[in-house]
Amino acid sequence: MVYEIVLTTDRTMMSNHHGKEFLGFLATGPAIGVPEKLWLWLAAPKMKVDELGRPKEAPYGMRKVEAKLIDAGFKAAIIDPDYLDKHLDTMKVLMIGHHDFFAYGPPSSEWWSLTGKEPVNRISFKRFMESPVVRKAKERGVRIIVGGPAAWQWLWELELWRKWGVDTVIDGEVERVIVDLVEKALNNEPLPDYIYVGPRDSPSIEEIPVIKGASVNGLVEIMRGCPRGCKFCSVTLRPLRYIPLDIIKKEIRVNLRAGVKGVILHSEDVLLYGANGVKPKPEPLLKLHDMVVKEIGENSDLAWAHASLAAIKYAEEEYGLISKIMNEYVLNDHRRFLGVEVGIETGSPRLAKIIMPAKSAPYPPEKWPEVVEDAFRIMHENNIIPAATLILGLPEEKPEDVVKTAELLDRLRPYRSVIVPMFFVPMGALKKNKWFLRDHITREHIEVMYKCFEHTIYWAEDIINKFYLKEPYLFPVRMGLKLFLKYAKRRVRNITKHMEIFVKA
Amino acid sequence: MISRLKVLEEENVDIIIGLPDTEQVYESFSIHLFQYINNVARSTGKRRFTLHIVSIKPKPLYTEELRQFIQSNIAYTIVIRYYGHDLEKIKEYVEELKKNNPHVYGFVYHDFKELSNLLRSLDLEVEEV
Ligand code: SF4
Repeated sequence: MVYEIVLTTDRTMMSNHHGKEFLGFLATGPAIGVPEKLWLWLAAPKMKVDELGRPKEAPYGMRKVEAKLIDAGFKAAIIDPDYLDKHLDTMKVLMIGHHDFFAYGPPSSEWWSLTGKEPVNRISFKRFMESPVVRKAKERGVRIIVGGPAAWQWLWELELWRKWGVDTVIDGEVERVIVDLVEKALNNEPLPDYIYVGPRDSPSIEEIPVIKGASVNGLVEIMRGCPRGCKFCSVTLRPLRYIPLDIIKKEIRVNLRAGVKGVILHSEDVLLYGANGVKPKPEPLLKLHDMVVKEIGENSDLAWAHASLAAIKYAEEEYGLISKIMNEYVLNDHRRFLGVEVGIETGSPRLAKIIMPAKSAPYPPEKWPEVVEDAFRIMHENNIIPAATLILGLPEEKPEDVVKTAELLDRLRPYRSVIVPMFFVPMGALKKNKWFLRDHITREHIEVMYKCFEHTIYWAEDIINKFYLKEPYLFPVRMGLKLFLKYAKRRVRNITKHMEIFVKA
Repeated sequence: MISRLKVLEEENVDIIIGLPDTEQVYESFSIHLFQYINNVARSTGKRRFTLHIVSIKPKPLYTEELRQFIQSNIAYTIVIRYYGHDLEKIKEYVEELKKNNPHVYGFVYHDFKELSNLLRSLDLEVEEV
């Protein structure tokens, strides 16, 4: 098969992370205590490919673009980065997607700023762009289009943009425009340097194609947009679109046919599928989970990409919906937990009111710490394991806010979860001062970070022992992680002491 | 022949942007541009903007001047095209644009008189900052 349009990305993205999404996060940090190669293998092992170098699974967003181009009649395919040379002679357009091209997104930027070392994802992406095959493609006149949620990061790497000869950077939901852009690239017409697809040009449900090949770990999208209406958020300006069940089912089947055992339901907030504004509704959610488990059967994994803590509390307290979904659909001998990402961000009602007034809705922001605690309790009781984030160092933050966050962490201690503190690093700061974090960290921050670390290590051991990486073939990964936890535990006291030196109290 | 993207460059506003040629990034350029585009959006009801960049800075280095604007905008579709510094070509280009779009404007750094004069001579409304 001859492909004129090749879609690809670097190894940290083109991997299924041993079938465990969470391991992918390791690539957002620098290699700690082990050689980079080993770290990369833990975070992002190579993907299985066919004889043309097409990966068995690929990032979902790239699958959407691939499907759109194939439906429009183009010869397009996603190719694993190690197999690009097979297509060098026919390639005319090279499309590259990423979640975090240059490690400027969270949590990469925090790791970077804290350790002063470039994160593995950044190193890997730069290595990929400098690779002989990508350079040769450019020399031959291949046009390079880059995009994805981290498209904006190119604005901070103009020299690399120029050096690597990227033709167009595109940001936003691209389904309505990508076919035309690629056609113009193939016809050698002048291309715009930068495109931002505004909310009004978001595709309708009919314009969003069904993926043709499997997505990483079976991720399928169930809705786009978000009804919360937070200020400065582009997602909430986009129309709210619930993907119909039959389309979701088709995509699950694409994944199952490719041998991907499992589904990750993706949305900004899974519990708002078919909701009444920010209030979850039982019927659409029950129908969704009923359909999903009928499709995947008893022996496949199920996860939610993101859920809001307010929706978890509301769904359970109003309808007993969380326990119903978990007991009637999710939990069985094989599926012993459900993983989800949630955002705590702060334990301070004052700060919550300023930075995310809509996040606690339908509850008032003043009640935010209770919302968080109730949601954590509900998840713990129902074997939902959240990976939660906190944000430290926001410009509006005061020391009292951080103390409130530390207090909330104490109250969350009994609940099984992983809590990752993220430090707000203003763009530009990283470029000017790689020690930005060390220069801005306070004693209160260190206390919160230490509490998060203790909490996470404690529960990570419990999760690994009881739930995670049980499959025999994942034994080496399990051992690797356990060793890393041991190493981290030993080191953390030293690191904390070390950090206190930098505190300008 | 002008190359236009389907959808994103239809029913749009075309703005010829004359960038500062200063060594340092002129911070308030982005802020003014953001306000200007919001005003044009309000008065025309349009949500799509193509920015035609005239600058002596090479591509894509000129985008540093627009970075703050690009990152502040979440509401409108923005397409950015680069034309270098050849004013003759820009003249032809603007004439062509005007045939197809009643909404062509200029937004020019105050020191870039050559460009603002050219655009005014082509009957464009020009905002200087
Ligand atoms: S909850 Fe998140 S996605 Fe939704 S509007 Fe707020 S910031 Fe945007």
